[in-house]
Amino acid sequence: MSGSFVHRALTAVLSLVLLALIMGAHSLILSDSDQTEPIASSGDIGSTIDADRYTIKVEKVQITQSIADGDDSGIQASFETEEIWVIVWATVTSTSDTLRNVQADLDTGDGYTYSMSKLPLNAFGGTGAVFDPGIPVYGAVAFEVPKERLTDPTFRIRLGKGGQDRLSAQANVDLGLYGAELADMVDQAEETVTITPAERR
Amino acid sequence: MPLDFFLVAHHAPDFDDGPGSLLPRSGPLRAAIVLVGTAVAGGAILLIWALGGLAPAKPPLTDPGTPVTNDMFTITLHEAELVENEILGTLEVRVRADLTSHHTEPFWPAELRLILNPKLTPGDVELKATSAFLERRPDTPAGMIQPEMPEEVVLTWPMPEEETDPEKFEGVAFTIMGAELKSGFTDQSESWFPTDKVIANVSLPFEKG
Repeated sequence: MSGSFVHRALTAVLSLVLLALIMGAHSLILSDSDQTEPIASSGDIGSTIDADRYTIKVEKVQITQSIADGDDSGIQASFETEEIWVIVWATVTSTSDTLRNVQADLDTGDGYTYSMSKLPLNAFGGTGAVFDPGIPVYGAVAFEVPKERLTDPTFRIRLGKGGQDRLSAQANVDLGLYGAELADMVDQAEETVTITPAERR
Repeated sequence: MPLDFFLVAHHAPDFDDGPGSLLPRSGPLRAAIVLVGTAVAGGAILLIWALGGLAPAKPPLTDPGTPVTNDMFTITLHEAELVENEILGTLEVRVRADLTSHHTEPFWPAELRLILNPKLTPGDVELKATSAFLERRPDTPAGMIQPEMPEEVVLTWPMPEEETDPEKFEGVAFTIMGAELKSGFTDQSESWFPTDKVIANVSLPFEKG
């Protein structure tokens, strides 16, 4: 009688332990979106960041009231804004594959995220840039953002082979712009910046 | 104690003359009332079902050019055209609108469809595959809609291929729903879904080109 009680109690406890273990193991399973998230590397403006599939160095940031989409031979289109343009100039070198798909965001530091503008066709992700392995490509990414949102911007870029950015390599670059320095840049925004086509260096 | 109990019981209301006396005392009669009542209620429900159910109260038609706001965006629908796409040679619906996103992240124009519910009228033919172009660069797809940036856009939908007589359509009607951000059933990332609340109905006749 008492033997069977101990037996039953042990079975019950073991079942509970197993259930708890199963639930614990389940919580470790990655969701579909986590499994295919871009793999991120981080760094600062001016330093070369190794994002595994490519390296990137953000060379400079410009803040301007209007952009011109053109080259030395002439301006094809220009875009003014009620807000402000943030132009990020960077050199990207692919390590082993030809990368064609570019996605870039600007996290303004204010809880808002903006994706790259499709207006200037010369910018990365427009008609031009292809990143062949070993060949540095210099070019621009343009963002149009409300002035008051810009507090401590971080530039995020993802490059991949195909049309999707699943498992693409992401670089997060702290643009090092905040406080009085940023306010001055916005106040003294350039009148216009020409987005030149991506160039191989 | 027993005395207290009897005193209280003596002052309690007498239910013999209460509402219970409305029902007949006999068991079979009560059963008959319950049966008939159930049959009447069931019949009424069946009748409502057969007639198409109770429709939720529809908000009145909102005039074109009136801003409509939910958690996702403010949209002002101006005018609609049925025109030929110069590149594809197919017919498409073009709608001129002012659009401001209230999300904190950019979203794709395709996410607008479930919230706007565009339908060709008459016939309520659903329009699918939403694209957006900015008035500032009408030759290039807009890409994503950016947070809190008012933009003049042209939204386009291709004429459904199975429609053999597109000329019969006179306009496009929108049923603009409330919007909420939530995770999908299989996909953990958040996107916009319609709530069950209709915010506005907007009807745009096709402008004659």
